[in-house]
Amino acid sequence: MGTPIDNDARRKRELARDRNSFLCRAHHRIEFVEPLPKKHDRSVPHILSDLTVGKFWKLKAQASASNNELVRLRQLCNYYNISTTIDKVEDFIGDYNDDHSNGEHRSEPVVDATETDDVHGNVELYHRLIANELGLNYGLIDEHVRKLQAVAAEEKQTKIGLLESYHWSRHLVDNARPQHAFEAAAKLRSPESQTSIAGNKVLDQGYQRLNLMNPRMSCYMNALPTELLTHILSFLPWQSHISCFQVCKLWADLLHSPALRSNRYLNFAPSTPPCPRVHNLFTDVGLECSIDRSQAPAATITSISFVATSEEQQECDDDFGSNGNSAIDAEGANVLTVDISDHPILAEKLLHFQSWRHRAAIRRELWTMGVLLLWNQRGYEYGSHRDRQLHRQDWFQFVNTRDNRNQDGDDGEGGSTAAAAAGNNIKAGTMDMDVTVREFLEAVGRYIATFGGLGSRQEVKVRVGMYRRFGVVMVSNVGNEPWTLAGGLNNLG
Amino acid sequence: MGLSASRQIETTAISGHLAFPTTAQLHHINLPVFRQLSTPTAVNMTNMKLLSSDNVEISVEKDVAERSVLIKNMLEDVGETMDAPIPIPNVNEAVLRKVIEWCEHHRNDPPPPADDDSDSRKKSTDIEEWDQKFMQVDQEMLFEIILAANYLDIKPLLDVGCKTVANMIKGKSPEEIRKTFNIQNDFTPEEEDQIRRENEWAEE
Repeated sequence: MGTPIDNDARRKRELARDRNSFLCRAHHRIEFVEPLPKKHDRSVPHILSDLTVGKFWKLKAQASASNNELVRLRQLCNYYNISTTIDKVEDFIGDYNDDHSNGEHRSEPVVDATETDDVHGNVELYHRLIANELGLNYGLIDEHVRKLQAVAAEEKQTKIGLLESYHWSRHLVDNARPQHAFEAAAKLRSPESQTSIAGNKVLDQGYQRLNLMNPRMSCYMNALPTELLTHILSFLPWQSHISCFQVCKLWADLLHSPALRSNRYLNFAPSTPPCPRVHNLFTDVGLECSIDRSQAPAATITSISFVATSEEQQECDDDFGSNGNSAIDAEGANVLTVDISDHPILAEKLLHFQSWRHRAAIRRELWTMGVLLLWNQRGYEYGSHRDRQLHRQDWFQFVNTRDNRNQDGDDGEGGSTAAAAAGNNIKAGTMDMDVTVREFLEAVGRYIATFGGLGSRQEVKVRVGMYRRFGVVMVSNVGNEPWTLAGGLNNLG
Repeated sequence: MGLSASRQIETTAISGHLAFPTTAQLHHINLPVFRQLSTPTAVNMTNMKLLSSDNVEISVEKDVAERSVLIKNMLEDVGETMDAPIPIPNVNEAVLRKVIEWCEHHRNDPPPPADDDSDSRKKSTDIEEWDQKFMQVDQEMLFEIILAANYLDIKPLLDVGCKTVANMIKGKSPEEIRKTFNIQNDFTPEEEDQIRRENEWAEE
């Protein structure tokens, strides 16, 4: 049996599978560990009657219960003044004692205060059974807890009473609706609950849990249906996803789900360029590839690193700004690179091209996807604007399927012989267009390795999309407005 | 027969077992006897009543209520304005009033595009000023509004609510997110360490 949170998450996932709508209906929203109430108007006597008659033996079988359970049942019945049930309990007690006394009849079993563990387990069963019957009706449970506390106080069975009331309260904290859980949690903190050593021990565990919680509220977020949680997370940029991965298991599972993974890099629209014309994939961070050209043209990427510094962003702003001043010398900048060559993020699908094809606006038009590449011919050291080269690589085309045009990626007039020389199989349509980040970078690397301006350098470092205002991937609607380098830059600016 | 059907719905709603009326039930209400009672003199044709989960009737203009696709479709099925209040079994009075307040403010907004994916690539967390103020509520109310918007099928309100929550997440560390939403960290220390190592490259 897993923890309540495991159960909760599993239950949510099970419920989620049953739903057909994009976002589930709110009537699924109350998802507690315990079953939802079937009847709200059940009275306490009915509950005890059902518990005693219908479930008593089941309870006994499950818990290997001692006489203490019978005592507890009788106490409950006494305090609820259920005479008929008391009679039944007495019968049960008699039968039980006849069966188990081995000649020693104990019509009045006494609660042994040292049997804390036993009581602990039995109380656990009690509260589960009765909670089912009560249907998590907070008012009834609260009344029940108060009466239990009164029983404990009157009969000086502090230890058992505390344990039982604690379990009830903790049960509410775990499972009840948020506002009720908070009230229950507050009661757990009350000083009068700390009069027993055993109670304190259990309460300490509760405190550890409660200390993780803001005492003024409860967790509404994870009480949402998973579809809604997914919808919320879908509004976040992928950088925030990195943080969200570490929040809890439920969030990590959701962020690994296809719905969020496939659109992880798409859903955050750039603020300046029109979407989807410019897909600002790596706008806030940079990826740096080291390319080994010694085996050119079959150059290989030897490492992929993450690069991000505020100086670089400043450099970009200066370099492409209106004044045209030279950029900050990168040698003096505090550049951080972290090798992510083996990071699983490189295996994630990058562009989700297949879904693009099915969007109406793209289906009806002819789109060419290009890549703007920026590198320094003289090596990695960034210099002035004059040292930079801008190139456009046609990658492939979206072709209108209604007109039965060629859809295999032939880029027609916009094609690039350099790309063909690089063996760009994405462009040729032989590679799955839903490429991963690694595949994308490798294809870029292969293309760059064939560029003549690199001279005799055997190792080249390329940075991809590290600038706030510079999109890597251009999507151009050639049907309406042919793409030009100048036009593309204007859009970017 | 029509009266008994409408009474049945009312009784059902008030007893606490708030089952949403089926289309068949609603059609029963429009039998001739009921239509006779539902003349313009008896019922304001532009107004209708909603019944919250705590059995409070709230009067609302029809075009405002029709911001909810759920209610709109239901009214279209019925064919005319209902006299009996429409039970909204999953939304209490306070939340329902908030939702209606939003609908009233946005009553003249163009309907959202039918294609769910049409704006999926334009997602941003920008929220207009009025909506920002509208969403300045405690977390319980915020999430109740989101649930109500989902149930009532008011996608723009749902998006506003979700964007508000997304903005509360953005830029925060995992621990800050947990603290903000009171989420328990259920990772083992080993799992947490592994995830942290995997993602440290993206942290500042």
